[in-house]
This record gives sequence, C-alpha cells and structure tokens, in this order.
Amino acid sequence: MSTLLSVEDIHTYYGDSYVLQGLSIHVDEGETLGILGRNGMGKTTLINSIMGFVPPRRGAIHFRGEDITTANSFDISKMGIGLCPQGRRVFPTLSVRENLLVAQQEHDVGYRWDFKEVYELFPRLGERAGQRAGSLSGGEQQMLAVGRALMTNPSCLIMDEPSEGLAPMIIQDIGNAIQSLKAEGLAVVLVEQNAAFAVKTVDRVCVITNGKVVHESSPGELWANEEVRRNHLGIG
Amino acid sequence: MTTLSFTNILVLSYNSLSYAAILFLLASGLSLIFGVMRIVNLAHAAFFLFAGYLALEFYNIIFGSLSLMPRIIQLVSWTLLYFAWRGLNLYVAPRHAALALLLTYIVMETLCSLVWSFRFFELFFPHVPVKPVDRINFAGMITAILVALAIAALCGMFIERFFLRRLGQDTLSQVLVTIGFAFILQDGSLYTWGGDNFMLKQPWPLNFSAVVWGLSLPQYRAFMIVIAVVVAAALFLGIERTRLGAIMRAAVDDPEMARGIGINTNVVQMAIFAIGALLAATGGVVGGAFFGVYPGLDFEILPYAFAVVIIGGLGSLGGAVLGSIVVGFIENFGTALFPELSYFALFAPMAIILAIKPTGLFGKG
Ligand SMILES: Nc1ncnc2c1ncn2[C@@H]1O[C@H](COP(=O)(O)OP(=O)(O)OP(=O)(O)O)[C@@H](O)[C@H]1O
Ligand SMILES: [Mg+2]
Repeated sequence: MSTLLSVEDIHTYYGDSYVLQGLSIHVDEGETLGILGRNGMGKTTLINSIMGFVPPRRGAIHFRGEDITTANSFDISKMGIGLCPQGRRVFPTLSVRENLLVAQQEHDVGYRWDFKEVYELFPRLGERAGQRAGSLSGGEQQMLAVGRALMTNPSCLIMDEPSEGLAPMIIQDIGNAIQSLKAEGLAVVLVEQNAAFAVKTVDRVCVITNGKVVHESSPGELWANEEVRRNHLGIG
Repeated sequence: MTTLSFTNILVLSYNSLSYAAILFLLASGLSLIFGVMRIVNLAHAAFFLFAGYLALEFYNIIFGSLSLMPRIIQLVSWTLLYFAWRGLNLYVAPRHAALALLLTYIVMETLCSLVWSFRFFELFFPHVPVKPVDRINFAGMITAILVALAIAALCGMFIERFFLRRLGQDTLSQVLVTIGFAFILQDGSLYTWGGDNFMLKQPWPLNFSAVVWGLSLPQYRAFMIVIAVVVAAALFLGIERTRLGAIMRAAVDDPEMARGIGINTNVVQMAIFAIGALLAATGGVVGGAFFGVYPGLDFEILPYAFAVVIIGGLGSLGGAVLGSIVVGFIENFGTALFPELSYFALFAPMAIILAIKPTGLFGKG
C-alpha cells in the first residue's frame, strides 16, 4: 500500500493560540482512517490545515507525493481531496442541484461521480433537487455535503463529524454510504466524536489529545484498551 | 410650487425612466461588487466617466482620424516597463526593483526635460487632444462602446488583482484605495483629454424625436431604456440560471467552503470587479450622449448611485432596478416641482428609508 496523504509533524496556530503541537498522521490508498478525540482537541484544526484553510506554521503535508503545505485550498481540492466539513456548510441560498453543480470539476479522465450517481446514493437529494439547501433537514444537508464532496471526484474523502446532531436512523444511512464508498476503494478520513459509530466503520484509528496523536491502533485494539478510552475519549 | 399638466406628467415619466436606465447601469455594478466582495467601490463612477472619454477618443479615431501613434507609444512603454519589472525581479527583491525603477524614472525625467525638452511621463500618459465629432454612425458607436468596455474591464481587473486583493477585508484601506483610484482616473482623464465639456454624438436613427399623441419624445432616451432592460435581463439570467452565477453565489454564501470544493475565489472576485467596471462603463458611454462627458461628472453622479443602492439595498439586483426607478422619478419630478430643493427631495426619502429599514427596501443582511 502506498501512502496517499501524509501529515508530518505540523504545528498550527490560530493567532497566538497554539493548537496542533507536532501532529503526524498518514493515510494509505483505499484505507479508512478514523480520528477520535474529545471536544476542542484539534481534530477540525487538523482538517483545516490539510485543506489549506489554516496552513501550519511548521511541518509539511504531502498528498500523492506533492507538497501541499501552503497550497491554495482550491488547488488542494482539485488534486483530489474532497471535504465534507463539520457543520455541513452547504451553500444555503443555492438549490440542492446548484450545490452539486458548483462542486463539479473538469477532469481529463471520465467522471465516477455525477448528478446521477449522487442521486442514486442519496435518493432524497434527487427528490429535493430544486429546493433551497438552507431549507433542508439536518440529515439531508449532511447527505448534500457528502454528495457535494463526491462531485469533486476525490481520491481521498475527509468527513468531519458526519454523525453530529443526527438521528440514529440517519446515522445508519450515512454509515452505509461510507461503507459503499470504502468498498469502491475510496480512501476516507473519518473524524468522529461518536466512537461507537467510528470503530464500526474504520480500518485504523488515531486518537488526538491537545494537538498530538496519543494513540494509534486498529479499532478492535482501541476498544479493548480501557485506559485510552477513559483518559482520551472519556468513555468507560 | 408649479402644477403639472397631464402631458407634462407623461413627458416627465418618460424622462424619469430613461434617467433611471443610466442610474441602473451605474448602480448595478456598485451593488454587485458590494454583494460579492463587501467592497464599497468609490472608484465606480470614475469608470463611468473614464469610459465616456475612451468612447470619445475612439469616435475621434474612427470618424475624426485621430492618430493612434500616442497610444502605440504608450502601449510599448508600458510593455517595456512590465518586462523591466519582471527582469529586475529575477535578480533582486521586489522592493529593490521598485526603487531601481523609481530612480531610473527620476533620472530619465530630468534628462528628457533638460536635453530634449519633453516630459518622460508623456510616454506613459500621453496627452491626446480630442475634438467633438459630428459625423457618427451606429456601427461606429457600437465599436467604440465595445473597445471602451474592454479597456474599462481590464482596468477593473488590474485594480482588483494588484491592489484590492492584497488588502483582505480591511474596510478603511479599501475605501482609501478606491478613492485613490477615483482621483487617479479623474486627473488622468483631465491630463489626457483636457478640461473641455464634450457631448458624445447620437447616431442616426437615435438622434430624432418620435411624436406620439402630440408629445415629442427623444428616441435616444428609449434606446437608453432598452439597453438597461437588456442588461438587467442578462444579469438576472447570468446570476440565477448559469453555473458561473451559482459559483458566484456560493462564493458569497461561504467563501472558504467554496475554495474547499475547488472554486478559485480569486478569479471569481476579479471577474466580478471586471463586470462591475463594465457595467459602469456601459452607463458612461450610453450616458455620455445624454449627460455629456466632462471633468467632475463622476463625483456629481456618484451620490445618485449611492442613493439607488441605499434605497434598493446593497447587493440586490431587484433592489437596484427598483432603486433606480425611485431615484429617477424623484429626481425628475422633484426638479420640476421644487427646483430649489431637488437634492433635498432626493436625499430626504433616502434618509427616511435608511432610518426605517437600514438594509434598504430589498436588502438581505
Ligand atoms: N477560529 C478559531 N480561532 C481561535 N481558536 C480556535 C478557532 N477554531 C478553533 N479554535 C480552538 O482550537 C482548539 C481546537 O479546536 P478544533 O475545532 O480543532 O477542535 P475539535 O477537536 O474539532 O473539536 P470538536 O469535536 O468540538 O469539533 C479549541 O481549543 C478551539 O477553541
Ligand atoms: Mg471539530
């Protein structure tokens, strides 16, 4: 397995506040990596650094061997990183269809993902294609956020807390969608608070505390490790 | 107070609508730039005037056989300057390159005025004496308009790319830079074309008045209304019905997220600024045959553009349409009814609307 995305010892700040303090992770091709950690530990900041929203002050990020540490977000997206952000961040004044349309990118090779494929994965979106995204329910917005990220035809999909604030039924739907993307060989980075949901889905987990990776293992090992669960995830 | 006859009211309404048409062309660009970029572009009306002068020069070139030589020299000078800048930047830091060019300029300016007695400055900003043109046709007008629009749009892109983009969201710097460019364009125009008042000639068949029910209605005013309606429809369809329009709206909703799905918001902003300049320029060229083209026109008309967007709501196309019509009618009827109070008649309702609904009649946020 070759490495798709590697984050090497990054240090990220918001102004003076020092959030990521020498954090390293890597994602292999076709792998699903889970990132766990309690509130405010720097998970979203890690995603912001990868996407170029908040570039790290030190350290490096490589994607497919290319240095993207200080690249523009739109170039990072075009290289094949798809983002489904925390809080969904759909474009509220655009229709569902327009949300997908603006994410569509020109490719030399054929598209895997187009309107038809996204509507097949989430039939609810197809039924609401003309509706303003701001008026969708939370679950539908989450589906739209995933669909929008897929429209960019990524080779690595980053999902930041997709289960946040959703009913168990909808979480199940999203989980099934992730499983089918995984089966296609798409690499996925799944950031989660909901550890029970994450360990069912991922191949490997990293636990982040205070801007550093404090534990890395298979999901089974993590579940068996009382100490990490209690100290770093707050679940007994 | 004078009383108005029914005919007077009809003619005044026609005039108000055509005046509103020009205001719409000017104010829609102002509103668009603010809606997408949150920049209050004080140089906006300068594009309006600048485009009028550009059209005048092209009328002179096409119909009055004005020499293109100063412009060719200007183009060559700027190209050479650009390559000198790029070349220097390969060897020294940008700061030192700028300093080197500045010193070269001072030396050349001194040398030129002492030895050959001409201004070195003129190579970059030549003086182009234009004259009123009486022979003009429709094709010539369209050509001049298109060229003026292209140049105005390029200037807009230049200002966005090299100045505004570097400032981020700092409102004070934006105001200072845009007012700076307003003065640069104004004084540059004065230096280049002189201080005379010009009227762009109205081509046949627009230079006649139609007689309807005994009322004499200038056809050029109808032409202004048609242009504004076409532009408004194109803007509406472009923004609401195309992928590019959706991309613009996405960039307004959440710029960071838009970048995160591959939208180059830098290009979007540059395009918006170019479109804004283009709209102002259209107003300037079409209005140049109506208001005339003269120094100070820009700052004379800018308050009206602000009245339009404040009444209609900044960032809303429908608001710009409505605001232009309101301002057009108030201005024309106000001047007819209370000639001494026309400014009051316009800006008092504006203040009242602001006090009741600070975002304007159609304003969003
Ligand atoms: N824009 C910001 N400016 C300043 N500080 C911030 C900003 N965003 C986050 N922080 C701080 O950085 C730290 C890490 O935040 P981050 O959002 O990465 O946490 P998280 O692990 O994603 O938490 P959650 O699970 O609640 O989403 C927190 O202490 C937070 O207060
Ligand atoms: Mg988070």
